[in-house]
Amino acid sequence: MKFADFILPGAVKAEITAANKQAVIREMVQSLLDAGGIEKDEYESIVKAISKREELGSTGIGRGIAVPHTKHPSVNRLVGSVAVCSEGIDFDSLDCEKVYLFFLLVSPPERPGDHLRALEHITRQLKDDTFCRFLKQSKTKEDILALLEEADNNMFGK
Amino acid sequence: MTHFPKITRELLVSNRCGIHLRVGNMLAQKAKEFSSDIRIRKGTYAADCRSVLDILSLGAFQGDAVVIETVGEDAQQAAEAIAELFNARFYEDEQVQ
Repeated sequence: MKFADFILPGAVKAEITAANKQAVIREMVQSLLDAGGIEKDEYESIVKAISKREELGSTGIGRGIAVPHTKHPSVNRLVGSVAVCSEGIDFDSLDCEKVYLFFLLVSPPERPGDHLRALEHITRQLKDDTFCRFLKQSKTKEDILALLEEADNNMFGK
Repeated sequence: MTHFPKITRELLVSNRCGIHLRVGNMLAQKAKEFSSDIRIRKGTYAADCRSVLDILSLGAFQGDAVVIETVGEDAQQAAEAIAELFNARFYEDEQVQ
């Protein structure tokens, strides 16, 4: 699986305005809505489901990365948004560090494999220090999209 | 310097959702209870069991075979503890991911 298979280009944001964990989730789900990835009627339900998943344990997995996610019956395919926050946000991460890179995923409940393949792709790419550093430094949506495309084309070392 | 033999265990990922984030975190937390070096290998990829990022990058799905390798003073106990999580299917509630 590649970023292009699940990240909606219209749901990619540099410099998000959110200042806390809940606001990040709301802003990123709003991005998905704006990009046509989810239905308007489902916005609150998806935000609630992602927040509930966070209560089970933060999806801040360390190294300044978080992957908030949920399964949701309203989507018929995996959809994802990306956000970068240069200031960093407290996301209750496992390593207690701030989070700078967010990948938010909403997947159909009956397709757990797609979710796992997306996590595999995200984490494999983010293990590359160069990719991770450039992504954190991205100032525009175009920069982020270009980096994701380069990663999809295996232009970063593994 | 004391030389510790490597202990290996072949295990099967048997829970429906595979090694997703919460399971990865469970493995990493367990690994941190031991001083031994603990690796999970799937095919050509090897992950440091203390790193969630590393574990998730394996892409371990239901039905996949993985090999646990432990080296160190408490390697035997570490291998057993990790194997126990696999065998218990990570205590998964299949409805929550």
